Amino acid sequence: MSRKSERLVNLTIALLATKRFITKSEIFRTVEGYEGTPETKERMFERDKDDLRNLGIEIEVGSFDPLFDDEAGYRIRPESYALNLDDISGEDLALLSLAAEAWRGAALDGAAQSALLRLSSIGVVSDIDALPAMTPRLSSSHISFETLTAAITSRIPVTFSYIAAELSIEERIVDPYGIATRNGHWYLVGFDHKREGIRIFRFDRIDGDIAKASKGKSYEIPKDFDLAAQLSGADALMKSDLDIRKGKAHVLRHMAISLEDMGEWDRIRISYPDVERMIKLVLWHGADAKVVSNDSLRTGVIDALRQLVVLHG
Amino acid sequence: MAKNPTSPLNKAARMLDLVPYLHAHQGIALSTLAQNFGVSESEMNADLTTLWMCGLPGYTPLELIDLSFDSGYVTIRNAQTLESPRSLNKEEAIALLLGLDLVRSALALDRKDLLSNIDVLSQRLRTLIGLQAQLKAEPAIDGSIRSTITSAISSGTSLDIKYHSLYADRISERTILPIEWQNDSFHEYVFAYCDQAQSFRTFRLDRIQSASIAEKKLKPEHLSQGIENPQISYRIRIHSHLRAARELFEFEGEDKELHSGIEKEISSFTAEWMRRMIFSAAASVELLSPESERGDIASSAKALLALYEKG
Repeated sequence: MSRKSERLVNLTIALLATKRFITKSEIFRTVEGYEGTPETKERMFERDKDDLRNLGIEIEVGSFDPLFDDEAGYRIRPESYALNLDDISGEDLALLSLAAEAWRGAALDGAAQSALLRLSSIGVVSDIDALPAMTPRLSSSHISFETLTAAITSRIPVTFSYIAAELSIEERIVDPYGIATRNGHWYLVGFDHKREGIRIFRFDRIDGDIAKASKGKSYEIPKDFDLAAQLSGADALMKSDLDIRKGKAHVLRHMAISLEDMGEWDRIRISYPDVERMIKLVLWHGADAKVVSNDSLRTGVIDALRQLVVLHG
Repeated sequence: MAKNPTSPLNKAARMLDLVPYLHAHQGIALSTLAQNFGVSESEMNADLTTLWMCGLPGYTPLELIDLSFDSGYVTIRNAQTLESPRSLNKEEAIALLLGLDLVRSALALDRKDLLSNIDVLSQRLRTLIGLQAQLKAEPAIDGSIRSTITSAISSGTSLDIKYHSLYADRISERTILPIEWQNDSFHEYVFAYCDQAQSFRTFRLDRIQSASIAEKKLKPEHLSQGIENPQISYRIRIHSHLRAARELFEFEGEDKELHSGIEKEISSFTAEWMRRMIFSAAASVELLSPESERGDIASSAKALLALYEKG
């Protein structure tokens, strides 16, 4: 077991230390750990190269001497190997530690901790006292972030099964534009191929996991795409006036953009992106909330109440 | 990432990271080192022993990495090639970017001076992995409330809290003795002894509006007399909007299998919560029993309709 990891470390050192490209035969001759028949060595080397690439180490392939059709040579550029974040202050490092800490116990915990180890190897001391005391936390999710983050950075469409409103399962192909958390849920925002528009997907409504789409073409993210605006539905705001009972309906009260005292009731104005959800929220408050305007919300609530009477009468 | 610490690839990755880390933390205790890398001390020992054999081709003592263990403390020399830490991979950078955005939104109110630092850092991380997509994270919870509660749990301090109870739609003031944190997949809860209820209660963290140290000290002897609330059993029929019903009633496991017209047994501590659930399901869920509750739904819906007809 340890022979393999030892060989990988030695190979990295040899390829990093060299200024010129070194050939495979040089590697086999000088780097510790390549043994056996030529075919065995060859196979070992191919696998080692793949392994190092999987660790995110870029191996450059070049010609030993451009004038001759020589054997290919290999090296690792120190600039691409080493972490380069320019100068980082103790305060920056403290901010990054806090950022990594937010993942504790959640999806990217491992990645965040290994990033933090690297950062703390730069030789700067984290100045955690410079920050106010706080411990933000991210919620966990069943989705493997690995596929998703790889897709986002290399702009490859993803595919997954999505649970629709009546629990039917639909295959979706989506160009991921961004991911976000909102109210404790994770969301993926992207261009839905079938619906030909930008859609929002909640992670816990994704059945199973996310995979790279097999015949997906690389895409561009529109310059004017605004993740925050998408999530708050800012482009489709509706307004309504509601009467709410004094000292009640706190959730609606929180949403109010204006409030007028009417005695037993308060009249509030709210804005919201989604009528269906608003109907449910108003109904949740029962006799403590009454829609004054607009018509779509008002009729929605009245219709639901009539059906409730029919159903339970 | 696969988290098998002994796989050759993970071991190699760890050894590559160990060199710069040791370089920046000369003389670190072996136990601390193992802890920071999330492996056992014997695993860390094996890593260091292997690292000792690595170096530049030639592998004479001059070219090998020099490690010294001095009664449990580790120093490193002669490892110039690997001295700088490895660059971050995409997943690691994204983890930090999302984390930073979360920190950013948690900061927004009090430390404007740190915001520009965060922007610069985020830009550097984005450049590092060539990221164009957007990432956004926001805290569900005010960080100061969490830290107040955390320290109260460890010190056994009682707290005065303002709690927004969603089903009763009421903000109540309570004195609690927090016992422990609890989690489901989406929310965090504080399990606590509640003075007003004279019993144990679970409070959802994002509904706690404020928390401060209480004058009244709740004594641990209160804790032995927790009483379970009796649950009421309801029968419902789900007509449509199956996904919404599944999320609303938090069906799990085999219960997740729903079809239109299905009947389900659910239980609740309060009738009020149940009534609100049925109402907000907007007639996609029907309450079958108990009969009295069913009648109540019909009559309160009628009363509300009358209110609308009045104008």
